[in-house]
Amino acid sequence: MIGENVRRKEDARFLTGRGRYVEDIQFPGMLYLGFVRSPHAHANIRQVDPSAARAIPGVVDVFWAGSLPEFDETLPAIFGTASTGPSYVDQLELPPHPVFQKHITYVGEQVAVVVAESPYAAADGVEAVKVDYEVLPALTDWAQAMAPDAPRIHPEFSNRAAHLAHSYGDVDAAMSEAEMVIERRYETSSLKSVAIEGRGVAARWDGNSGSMEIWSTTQMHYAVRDRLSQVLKIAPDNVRVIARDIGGGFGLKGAFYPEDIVAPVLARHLNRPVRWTETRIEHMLSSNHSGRQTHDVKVAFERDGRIRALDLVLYKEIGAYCHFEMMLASNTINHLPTHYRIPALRVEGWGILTNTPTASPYRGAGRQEASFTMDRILDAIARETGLDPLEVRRRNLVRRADMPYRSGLIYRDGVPVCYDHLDFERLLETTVEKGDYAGWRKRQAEWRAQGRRIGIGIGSYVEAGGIGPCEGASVAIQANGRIAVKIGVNSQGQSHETTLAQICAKALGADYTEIDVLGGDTKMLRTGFGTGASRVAVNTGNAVHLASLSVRKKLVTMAAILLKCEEGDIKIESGAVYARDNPQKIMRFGEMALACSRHPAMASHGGPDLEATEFFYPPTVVWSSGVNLAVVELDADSGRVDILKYLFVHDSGEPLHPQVVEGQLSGGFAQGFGAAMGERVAYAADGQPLSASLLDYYVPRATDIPDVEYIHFAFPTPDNPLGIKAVGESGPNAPPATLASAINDALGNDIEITELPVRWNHIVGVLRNAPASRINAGGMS
Amino acid sequence: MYPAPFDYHRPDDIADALALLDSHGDDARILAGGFSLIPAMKLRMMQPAHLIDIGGIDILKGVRIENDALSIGAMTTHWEIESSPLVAEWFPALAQAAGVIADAQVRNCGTIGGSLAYSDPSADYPALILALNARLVTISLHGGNVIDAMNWQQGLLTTALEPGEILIDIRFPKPPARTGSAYIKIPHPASRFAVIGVAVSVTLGEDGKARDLRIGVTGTSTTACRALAMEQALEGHNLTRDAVEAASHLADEGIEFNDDQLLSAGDRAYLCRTTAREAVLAAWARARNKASA
Amino acid sequence: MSAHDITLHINGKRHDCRVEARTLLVHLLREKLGLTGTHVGCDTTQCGACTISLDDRAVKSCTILAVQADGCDIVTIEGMAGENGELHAIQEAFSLEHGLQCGFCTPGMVMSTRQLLARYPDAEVDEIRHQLEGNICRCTGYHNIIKAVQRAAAQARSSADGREPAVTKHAAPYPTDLHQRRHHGS
Repeated sequence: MIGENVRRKEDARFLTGRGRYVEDIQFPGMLYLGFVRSPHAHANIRQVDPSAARAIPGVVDVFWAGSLPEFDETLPAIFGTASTGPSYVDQLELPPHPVFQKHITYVGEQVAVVVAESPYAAADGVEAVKVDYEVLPALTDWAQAMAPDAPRIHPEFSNRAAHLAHSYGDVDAAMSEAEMVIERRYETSSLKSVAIEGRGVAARWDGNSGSMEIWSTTQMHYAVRDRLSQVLKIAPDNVRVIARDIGGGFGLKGAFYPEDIVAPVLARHLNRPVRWTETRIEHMLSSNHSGRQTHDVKVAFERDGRIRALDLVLYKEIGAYCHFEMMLASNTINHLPTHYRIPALRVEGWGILTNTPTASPYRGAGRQEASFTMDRILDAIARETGLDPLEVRRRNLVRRADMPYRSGLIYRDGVPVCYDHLDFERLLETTVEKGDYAGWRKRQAEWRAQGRRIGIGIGSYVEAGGIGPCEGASVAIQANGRIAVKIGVNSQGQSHETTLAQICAKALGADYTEIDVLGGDTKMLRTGFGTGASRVAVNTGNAVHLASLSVRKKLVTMAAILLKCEEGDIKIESGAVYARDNPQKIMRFGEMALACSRHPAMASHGGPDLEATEFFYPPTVVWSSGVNLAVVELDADSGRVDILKYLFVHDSGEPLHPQVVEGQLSGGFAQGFGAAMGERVAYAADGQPLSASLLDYYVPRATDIPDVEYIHFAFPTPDNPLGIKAVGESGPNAPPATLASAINDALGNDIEITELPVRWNHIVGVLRNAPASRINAGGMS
Repeated sequence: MYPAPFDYHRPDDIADALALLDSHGDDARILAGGFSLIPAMKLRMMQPAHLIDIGGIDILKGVRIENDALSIGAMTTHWEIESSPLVAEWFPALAQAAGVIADAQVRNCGTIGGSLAYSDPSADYPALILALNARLVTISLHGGNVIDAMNWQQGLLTTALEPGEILIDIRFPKPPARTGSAYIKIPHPASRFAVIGVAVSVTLGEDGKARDLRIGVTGTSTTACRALAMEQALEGHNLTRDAVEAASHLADEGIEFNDDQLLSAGDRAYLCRTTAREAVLAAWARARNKASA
Repeated sequence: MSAHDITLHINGKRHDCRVEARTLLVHLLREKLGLTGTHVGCDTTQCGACTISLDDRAVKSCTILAVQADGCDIVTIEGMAGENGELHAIQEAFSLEHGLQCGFCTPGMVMSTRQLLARYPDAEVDEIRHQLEGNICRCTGYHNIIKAVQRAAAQARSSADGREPAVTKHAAPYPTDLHQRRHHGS
């Protein structure tokens, strides 16, 4: 069952239009919210005049800062799976983040909310609200915001909101002893998740029971429940957050947003259900983004290409509020070495406030930046030494014999990073062989003589997945024979209903078609930590496995009693238990559940149900890894990049469902491709967004994405009972590094690509100045 | 996103449409497919009080031969143009251009008249009407006009269309024998509008030389324009690759290009030169194919 | 603002509705008629999540006024499966090839594929990509969507038995080799 491409349980409803997304929710008497948002990046609100809006037919009311006491409440300071152990962070200031306020710190920040009888009337109302702003100077660049005399974004707080530091080995000695030292600055742009479904929330208050029902697009429904129970001052169990079908998340929906509080507060205040769904423009302006990151590196190495030491100063733009401490920067640091040895390392990182929305994880969450930085360093060493880039990689590789390999880094769960049971050498050599590296190098030289520009690039990644603290699962056999697997996470498309059912089917001996995986609802399980950080398969998967085994144990014990035989003689298969020596003695799961529910022997098995709840606590993260190879050709006329070959070699442990694994990789690849080829959240100096819609922000289309060849490895891991690893964030990490490397290789030494995305104008700039492709070169007919 | 309120009118014939336009004046906009106008209305960048939908006027739809010209009704969709055998035979460049506008769904609804009247500076058709020497036919209560393609676009989102006028027909004169045309577009990565689009028409003269070479360029800044210097350099010449390559140096002469984060004006001028070169060669190849056919 | 009485034939059923002039077709379908399978994913007529079939043309219902569709035949994703719930061959192909993850863009993809197969039953992969350019998927990377369309096309060819396709077949008038197919970003 595990490892088979069974039919996805989610497919039938999604394919027939029967998904249940937040915008599909309609309650009788529902009201709709529209937000007035700031056109200025930094401003004080002098006055809000709602009179014209209130006069519009269908507008119910307008609220803003100070309208309701709950609007003074703040968003949770730290979201997500923050550091649980000692981290690198030694300074952290968290400006409080109220729901509505009079001090605006980014374009698109909520100023007021219009409540109306229809979304159309809400939009009319939004347009009619008049706001008087005192416009303040904006800071959208970390360098400006860090300057000692820079104006403050929050008057009570330094723009330098966070700082971290870590080191191992003698960096200074290596820098002075090494034969060569280079310095570079690598820039990675901010990215937007652009899930095709925007954010949304629908809320319904039941005054009689004093309970709140919320449908949300959140990836963290328990965090939403817990904060709302505080804001609404009701018991957490009276807040039900349902996050069932979600149209993609990619991290952005893992954060907490003001609208998450506004909607339920208004539902209670007005005693009518409310719904808000984000427009794409709101998504581009107001939702979180990954945050631009700058990496200043100094690298010491020998003439033979071997790295001696790396000194890194990292600058992270974290937006107007700091909600993820330095998680993204520390992810970059902990994934920075990828497959390579850095004998001595010193890092310093700054988290700097800017007049943009908050930076939060976007699929990869710092890993893409790590791979890009590391592979650009390796290519720079090749350039400086004259060695082939592949040779530089081979000479610095962490090999099998080096494992277990402790780099000196400490993961954000407090556990030292350790590579074990991995085989980077095999991944690299497979890539080189299957990608025909030598053949392409030969063709590159031949075709170059004909004026064709071919480039070859190699990129590597590691992905630490499955971070704790834990996830749980409750497995129960019900009287009708169906098996409920209740989990504490929700899905944004990851196929949990399928893969977790596969795990249960195998461990329990159940029929796959009889299993219902139920998640995305705080009523299903008491506690959960959320979907993100590639943690569900490892955490929830193993919890389902353990809970299924516990139920199986109860089944065996009770079957022995009911079938009057020894426990050792009980067999379980396809949803039935029977006695090994007498196949006539057989009971279906449903019959067992019925029989057990009134059986006194269940007193010593936790109660009347054939049910068990287990939590899996991973000892630390588990490492997936991979190598990508790209061969590109540049079109001299347009600067267009044609992908002649793309090879994706990876290890993500034992696949639960190979098709789903490849689906995760190919989706992640496309996002990495986008990051390499044009995705960029950009702001003008005055804080105006330059990427306010999909007319400006590039999202790859079907015509853009090349064919990718995937080669799958499954290196066994002893780190968890199922021997599985993470794959959710494996896809996007290496493509930017790989494509940048290949494009740079095609362009030659006239340029060194140090920024993501690779800029079209940089390519065209080289091409139009290159003698070989000058338009009047002649002789080409 | 939700448009602001308006009144909707769906006249059955042109006379009714003109009467409505006359009575509502500046408060009215013509809805001609709507794939430029409705997006602008959803963003509330445009808020006309009256929409006059000419989608119900059948006479404005379709491709037909009229008096030695191909007459394309203003309400003919991009898909109808893309898939029209007549267009493919007479003006392959036009079929090509129609087939790369936006996407398949938009091409099913958007119309040539709507696009030309909206006059987006990065739209494709403005290059085509220049290269194919089209005439744009308008009508109003007071008569009508036939406007030369060179005079159509007057500035950013502005055309020669007068208040009270409706664009009803785009007429492409029948090309002489041995005429080839081609369109090459370099799309914007996000919007898929043209960063540069070059349309070319050229006739292979009896003497084997290029005649009536016209090169239309769109995407440059506010309006499409002709690459006149390159046209002049090649008119009356044999269009060898060397000759075209040499002349393509002139493709950007006198043209003002946008300059932004995506590409500098110099980068765009380069793309204009390379694209003009390839489009001229492609059109020339088609002209020669017709001669040998 | 004007209001209008319109009649739509949706998935074989007649609907008489009164709509404000400004009501977009997608909102009528979703909010008034409960056909929530058609989704809204962008404000700029790009993502294609709202794609439906209008008089046998795949269109973006977020950019059409409901009143413009008066008298039209509409097929939405809810009308694709058979009467007993059996999946349409296109839906089946998407499932078999894992051509969907979160499911949000999927209805639009299926509706675009419906037109694609009718117009280009022998489409090669480049044509498939070109015809799906108006549907953005953020989950799959299109990899398995392309495979699903190829599978559905093969299925349609093998079961066609010489029957005419539902929509008149137009050959692409010219190959797309002169179009710049693989784009490059900023």
